[in-house]
Amino acid sequence: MNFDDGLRAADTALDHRLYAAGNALREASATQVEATSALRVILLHTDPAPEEPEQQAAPSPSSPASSLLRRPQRRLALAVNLLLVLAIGVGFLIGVQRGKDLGHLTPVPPPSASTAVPSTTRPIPARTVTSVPEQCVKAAELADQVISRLNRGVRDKRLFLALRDYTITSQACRREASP
Amino acid sequence: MGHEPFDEFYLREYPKVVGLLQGLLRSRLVAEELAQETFLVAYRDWARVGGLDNPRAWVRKVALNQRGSFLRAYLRQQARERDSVVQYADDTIKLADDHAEVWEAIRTLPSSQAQVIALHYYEDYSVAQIAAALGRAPGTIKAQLHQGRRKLARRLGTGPDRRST
Repeated sequence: MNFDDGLRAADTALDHRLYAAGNALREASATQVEATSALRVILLHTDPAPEEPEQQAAPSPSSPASSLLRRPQRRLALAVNLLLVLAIGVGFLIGVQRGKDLGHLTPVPPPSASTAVPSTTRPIPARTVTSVPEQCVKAAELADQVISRLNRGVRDKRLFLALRDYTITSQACRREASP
Repeated sequence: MGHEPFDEFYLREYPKVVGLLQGLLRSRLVAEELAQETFLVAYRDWARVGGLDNPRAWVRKVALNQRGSFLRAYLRQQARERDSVVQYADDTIKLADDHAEVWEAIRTLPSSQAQVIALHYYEDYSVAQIAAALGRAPGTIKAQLHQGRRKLARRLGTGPDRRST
């Protein structure tokens, strides 16, 4: 067998193997990937661009059921979003308050001679450095992730894990932020 | 002329697109997320996308084009979550070892070659169809297919037996 024959035989063997792997993956994805629930998520949580104006007047047969399902889901998402925003606000306020408390503790420098001289320049306000506990920053990031997942309709284990992490981190944030 | 309803298109094409992306990305979770994002884009603009000549090629093109940026964002998120997220034991579509080895080898190819190989052997696309789907010249596709196959032959040990020359 010369090299060209070997090359052709190798080509055929490779082709055969690649087609077999392609077919195997196609068949496996057809049986192992569950499309129905993913479709439900898209249809429930996304408003498509209206195709024609009269579509709203004549909804499809599935739309009443969809809107019934959609409303509580949206309310739940809205409630969770509001709670998260509230929690972030509380964390931020605690951080700001803490920064102010630290600001009160810093000694006021004695007035220098230059302060007696009337000056046209505006007085520079004392700079308050606000320190936000790391856990609170992390909690805010996790809250963003949860909101993003909710907005995208990702409601599987990943949402559960993100919510769980957020709860743990926000509790740690409160512990760290409280005096 | 009315076009195919989105749900019929989705139910038929979604598993195939997930399979294609899983072949190129390995992670089924990432493949499913990316496929979802892609079909979401299609759904929001279905009045236009559904009326295209080939919506099937369109979703593949969008999925493959989004792959890079999506993957980077996803990996950043994973890096942030790595301490808290449980690793999924079954984060792949199950394949026989021989086929899994082939897809592992395809994933080691440069991205452009891997895409061409996947579309050719997984989707049964011709060179012209791949060129149309990826927006590249047919000559480029042929070259990438050839280079990809040559590398795969070496990696999978199906190259010609040089001792016989």
